[in-house]
Amino acid sequence: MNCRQAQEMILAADSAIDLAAAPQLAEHIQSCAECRGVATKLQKLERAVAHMPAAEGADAARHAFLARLGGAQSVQVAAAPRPLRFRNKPVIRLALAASILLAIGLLFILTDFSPVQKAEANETVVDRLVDWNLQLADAESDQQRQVIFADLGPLKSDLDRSHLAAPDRQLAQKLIDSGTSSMSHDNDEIDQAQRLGELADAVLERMDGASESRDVEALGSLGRNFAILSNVSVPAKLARAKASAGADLDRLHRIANAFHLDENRSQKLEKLLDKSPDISRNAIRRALKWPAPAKHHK
Amino acid sequence: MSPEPTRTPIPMDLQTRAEMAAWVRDHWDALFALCFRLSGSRHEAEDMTQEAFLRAGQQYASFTPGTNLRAWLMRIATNIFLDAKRKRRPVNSLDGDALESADRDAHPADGLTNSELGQALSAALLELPEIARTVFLLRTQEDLSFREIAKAIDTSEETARWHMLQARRRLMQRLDGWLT
Repeated sequence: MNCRQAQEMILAADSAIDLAAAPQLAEHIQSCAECRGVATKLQKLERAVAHMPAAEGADAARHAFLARLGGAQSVQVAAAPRPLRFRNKPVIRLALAASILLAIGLLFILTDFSPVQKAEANETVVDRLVDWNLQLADAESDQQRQVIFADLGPLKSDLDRSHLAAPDRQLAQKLIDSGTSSMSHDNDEIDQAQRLGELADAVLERMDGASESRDVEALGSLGRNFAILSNVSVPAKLARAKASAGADLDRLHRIANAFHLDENRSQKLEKLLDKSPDISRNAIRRALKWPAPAKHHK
Repeated sequence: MSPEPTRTPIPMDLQTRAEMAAWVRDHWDALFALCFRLSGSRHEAEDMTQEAFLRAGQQYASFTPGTNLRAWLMRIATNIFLDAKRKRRPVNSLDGDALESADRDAHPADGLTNSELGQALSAALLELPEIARTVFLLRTQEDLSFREIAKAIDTSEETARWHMLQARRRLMQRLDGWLT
């Protein structure tokens, strides 16, 4: 192999760092100072590019985008069904997880096709408060959290102006209290998962009332909120917590507790479905895109 | 640009919004860095990165779960960049692109610092033809395979490798004094 061939091979190599993959080339480089110099320069070049400093402005731009994403002034329900793809991270369940939890892992969300206009401020306020809590839980810095928290003012104003029924108003207040309390504590992923899980429980409790009164419209909205809290956000946070827990027994114990609460919630949902009238059950299933069982419950 | 970020909300259903926030958290910095290195402009990088995430939200049905999400996002960002460049200039002037902002006269000096090398690198990258620049950055900064890069720029692996070779050749010539 001559130097020209060797230098062409160096420039054409898959990896500048690992040129030993081609033994003939490696042998030439070892014996030729000039070609060794070319290989070294290429490695230096690519290392320098790989370690270029982070682009300035990324944080501010991300924050601005998240602020737009979190702006809940115009929450709109998509007009077409969209499958809910869970994040590409495995959700690790305890051995005690029931088969129902496997079904939860396969859930897709359907948006409600109800022809009834959902412009009522009361539903929108609850949706927005759920969204606000999710944004707080996902905030990456105290500064970001403060900006998101500032949305509470307009949300409270809209809540005051709304004509919410008492149960919805109580749910809205729980959402406000939860988000507010999260500001005064240092929350790790497990705390956040538990907090969002408690909100999912509150939503589930409201679903119980809506189910009894056969409020299909409310069940659609509540079901979607429950799904996003319980089936997306909580498992994702626990998965991240588990991935970073290592051998920290205290942390693992807390994660196990959180999974246990998650299982209890799933069982409560199943019980709600069991006791619901057909029309309510169907509305909940549509909202959760729960596969209907082969036999009828009632 | 106004000092306060524009708070025009993005109409989106709740589920997509939550997923989008997670993607932004995990991949924003990498995408922004790529867009900045491609365009040489922070303003353009911000626009491109936002557009990439919005398109990703719209096109998520086309993403195959279990495959490389970041590579998919990079592909979207790359398409945005290359489409914008094609619209701005004639097709046959891809070689020898004009610099958007770079020091053509950058030369090595004694006592080279990392910052000076970084600046020289940024300038040299912007001198590359857009596709070569794209391939080089996707390979070097993101460690994408040539197969993934080929998909991102809609070409063959062989062509992607050829662009990488051209990029390396040009950068080695341009930065020879900085690399000794």
